[in-house]
Amino acid sequence: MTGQDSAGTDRRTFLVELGVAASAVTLASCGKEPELTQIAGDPNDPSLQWDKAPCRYCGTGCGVEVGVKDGKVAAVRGDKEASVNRGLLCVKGYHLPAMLYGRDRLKFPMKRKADGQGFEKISWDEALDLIAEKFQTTLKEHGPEAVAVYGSGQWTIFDGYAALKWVKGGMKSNNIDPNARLCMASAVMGFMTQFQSDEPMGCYDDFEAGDDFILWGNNMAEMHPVLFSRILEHKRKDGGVRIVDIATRWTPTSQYADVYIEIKPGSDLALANGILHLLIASGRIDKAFIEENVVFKRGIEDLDKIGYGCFGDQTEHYGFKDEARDSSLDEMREFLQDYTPAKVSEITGVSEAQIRLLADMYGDSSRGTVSLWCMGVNQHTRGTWMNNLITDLHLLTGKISRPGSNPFSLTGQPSACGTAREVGTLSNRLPADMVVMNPEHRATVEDIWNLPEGTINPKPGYHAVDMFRALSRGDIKAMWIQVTNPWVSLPNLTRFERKPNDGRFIVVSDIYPTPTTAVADLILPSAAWVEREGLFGNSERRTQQWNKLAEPPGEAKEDAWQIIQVAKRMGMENLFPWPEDNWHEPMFEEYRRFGFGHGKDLASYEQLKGSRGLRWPVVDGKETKYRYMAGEDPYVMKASGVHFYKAKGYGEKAAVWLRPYQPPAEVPDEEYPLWLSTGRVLEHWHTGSMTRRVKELHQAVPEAYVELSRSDAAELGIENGQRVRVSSRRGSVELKVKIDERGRPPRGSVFIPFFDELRLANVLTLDAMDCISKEPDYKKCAVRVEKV
Amino acid sequence: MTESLLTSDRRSPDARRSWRPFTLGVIAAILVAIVLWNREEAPSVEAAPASHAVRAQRRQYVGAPPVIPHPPLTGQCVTCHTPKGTNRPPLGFAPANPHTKTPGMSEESRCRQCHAFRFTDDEFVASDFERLTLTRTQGSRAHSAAPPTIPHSLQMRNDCNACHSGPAARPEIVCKHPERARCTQCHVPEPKSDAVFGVSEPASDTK
Repeated sequence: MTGQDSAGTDRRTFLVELGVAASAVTLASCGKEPELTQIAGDPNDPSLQWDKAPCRYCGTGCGVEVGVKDGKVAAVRGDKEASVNRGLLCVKGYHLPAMLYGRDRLKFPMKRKADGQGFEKISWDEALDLIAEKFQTTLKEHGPEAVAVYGSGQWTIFDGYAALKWVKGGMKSNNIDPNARLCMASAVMGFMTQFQSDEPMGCYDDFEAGDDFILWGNNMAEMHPVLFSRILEHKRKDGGVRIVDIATRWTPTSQYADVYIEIKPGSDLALANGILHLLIASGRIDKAFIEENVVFKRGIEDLDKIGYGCFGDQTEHYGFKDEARDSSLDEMREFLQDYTPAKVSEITGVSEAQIRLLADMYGDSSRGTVSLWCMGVNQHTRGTWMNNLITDLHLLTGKISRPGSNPFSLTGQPSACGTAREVGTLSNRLPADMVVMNPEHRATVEDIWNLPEGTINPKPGYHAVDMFRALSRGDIKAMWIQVTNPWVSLPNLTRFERKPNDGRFIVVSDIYPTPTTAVADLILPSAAWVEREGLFGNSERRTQQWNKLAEPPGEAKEDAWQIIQVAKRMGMENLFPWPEDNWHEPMFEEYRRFGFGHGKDLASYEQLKGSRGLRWPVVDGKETKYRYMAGEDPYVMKASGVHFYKAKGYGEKAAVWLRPYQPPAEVPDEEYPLWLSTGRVLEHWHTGSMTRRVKELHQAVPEAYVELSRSDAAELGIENGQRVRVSSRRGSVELKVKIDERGRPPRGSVFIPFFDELRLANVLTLDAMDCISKEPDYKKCAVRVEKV
Repeated sequence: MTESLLTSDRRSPDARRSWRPFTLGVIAAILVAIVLWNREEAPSVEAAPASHAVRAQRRQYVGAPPVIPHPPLTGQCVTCHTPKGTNRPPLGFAPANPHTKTPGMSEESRCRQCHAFRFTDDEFVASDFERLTLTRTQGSRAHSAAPPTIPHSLQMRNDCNACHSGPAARPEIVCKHPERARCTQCHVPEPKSDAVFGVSEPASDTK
């Protein structure tokens, strides 16, 4: 690969600056090809072994075939037999192999030197002993609230389960939270508050069964490209299919939408209420369905009481708790009087005609409607409310739990569902929808784990943002971070600056050096993706297994193994009683016990090994496409219709919530006149620690940039490609400007992707959070842009 | 007048003779320099079929989607990359879009979902990935007169002519009978080329 490193870099950079105006000369110049340095065999070479795995990156869970040669991943192919993607991948998936082989892969445990400067290599035994000793001492001196594990929606089910058992069953602490708190928590609380069971009722089959696809703040073409391809293919075959893109900026998704609805940041609550108003006022709701399956609830709406988690007395700890009371359809009709088309149009910037069009779509009982959302709705100071309102639209029209009509929340990480949500690696949760606050749930867990009564701590631990606030304060003394990069991904990053030798002990397990390993006291090298055996659970409840296919580099070890070894050194070997050479299957079989009989039944390990994944509940070896649907879900005994059997607290009915519009935490003003939204790009995944090591992906999007509207740029005298400084009340960053390229924010808004550790978008963002899920809002804060 | 004209006429051919070779020489030198410059520094990507080595450099491994070897141009990819490819002087020949017959794909498909531009290597951390490339371009034959097998996967490559005929086809793989439309009637994929891992069950959603 080195040949390409030296070739024509300046020239290509120059070409970028030239922009799109190409001539024969520029075209020819760009074609200078590097020397070929390596030819390593042939895909038909019998020494290349192929096996299945889910893709490492997003929550779609595409099936890939992995070609391995001499213990290294050499090639991948889209798995044609995988029903998720049917052979297609995206640019990240196709370029998976090189992700494992960046030259700076972490290969050995490394400890920070005594003077705080730099790291030295140590043995695994020394490293594991050190962690065990530090956590043991912290527990003894400061109690279970002073230790913490910060994990990931990229943890395999094994990793998450081992960590959960060690923290909650071993250390009697609830300080375990995943980065999924930063991306999926609002969806979890949406499903929990409405169905008392997490995760969607629909599945990817909806993409071929639906008629209208309504995307709420969801740039699906870049974030879930393979699923978007399925919708586009369905639309190509069926001319009646419509795609509606409700967004705060024009994206590649908008290009393919039949209707583009531009909305002011944070005003989606008003828009959804405006649609509900029209549906109820015109009687386009399914009264029989509501009568049979729905209850009405209303929570706390006092803005002063709720706050945003980042101002006043909420700057260190945000513990707002919602309280539900019974409501009714009549009260809802009354409540929605405020949301007339005229008023909603004023708040949202959406025309009355478009509000009415959306109501016509949801209200047309002859057409299947699928609502799709991801970070736009979840990373929102009222994200749980917005999840509630989207699902309300489906509950009131009866468009739920049937093929082609569902509210479908997409996930960003490969096992946000499988690990974070299903295993329950959150500070308040336990496996299979159970919570630490519930004594029966604690007893169930203690029983399956064979632990004495009273082991599980009833007090929820710190949620992600509060966990890092506690670390900064010094309330948390020992923290272990696995498979995630908080010093790039946390909001308002400068709050969490950390100096070595500050009395805290931070362990970081990762595969590459990152800004997070840079602040660690101990770095552990992890085995990645197919370098170990694993299980992920994707957005459509599909659990996917893969075997260890390649050798990890150096002394890298899988994350679950690291935790088990430390637990054993702390005298907690009873938690992991399985033989060292065969613990995956028995661990999974133990974990499965939590779901049996509760509508969360997972397939056996053996069945998962032999398939491209199955969607739970899996009863008698059969998967379930549509939860709560008669004839599909084995737990539904009715002959037809739906049964929300998990919602015991609501009389086995689903809850429609009345939720008002409230403004975002920070809005643009004279000093900071522009909205900032942050997010991803197609080519990079999350904080870029993997995709920036893949040459093809790095070359495509080599650095973060700021998208600016042409009119704002003209006013500021800024041209495309120029460098500017973007500042908020919290920090500033220098970036190149992009005007009218793939994303086009409207006047008054800018967008910055967060993948680039050299240009941190999160020094600008605000640590305001959703009031219920405690998920930060990365999509709305105020900034200004200046020439440099 | 006449004299001056004559004089002028007499002197003119001389003058022409004296400056013409020089000017032509300069022009020729510039042209040669341009040609040499282009040959040395920037061989045209599209004007001639890409060599085996160049082709390999555009893919992370054999079977990976190639990167886009030219800078972004105005317009849509499919404007030039039509099902048969288009000659776009002075840019060169835009190779055919090989996916127009791929199930689930069409001309409206989003090219950049899989194909990426190459801008810069600045800030790239070096990689030790070993590139897997094709070492064999010929299929095998059951006997000397048998049609050769297809030595590569057909996934995403359902239009044989896109690569095996037309100006962008590499000479060694040009099909001598493109008029025979159904290639797989005689050429079969090698069993290994589309081998799927050995799971015991079919896809899970056959319920």
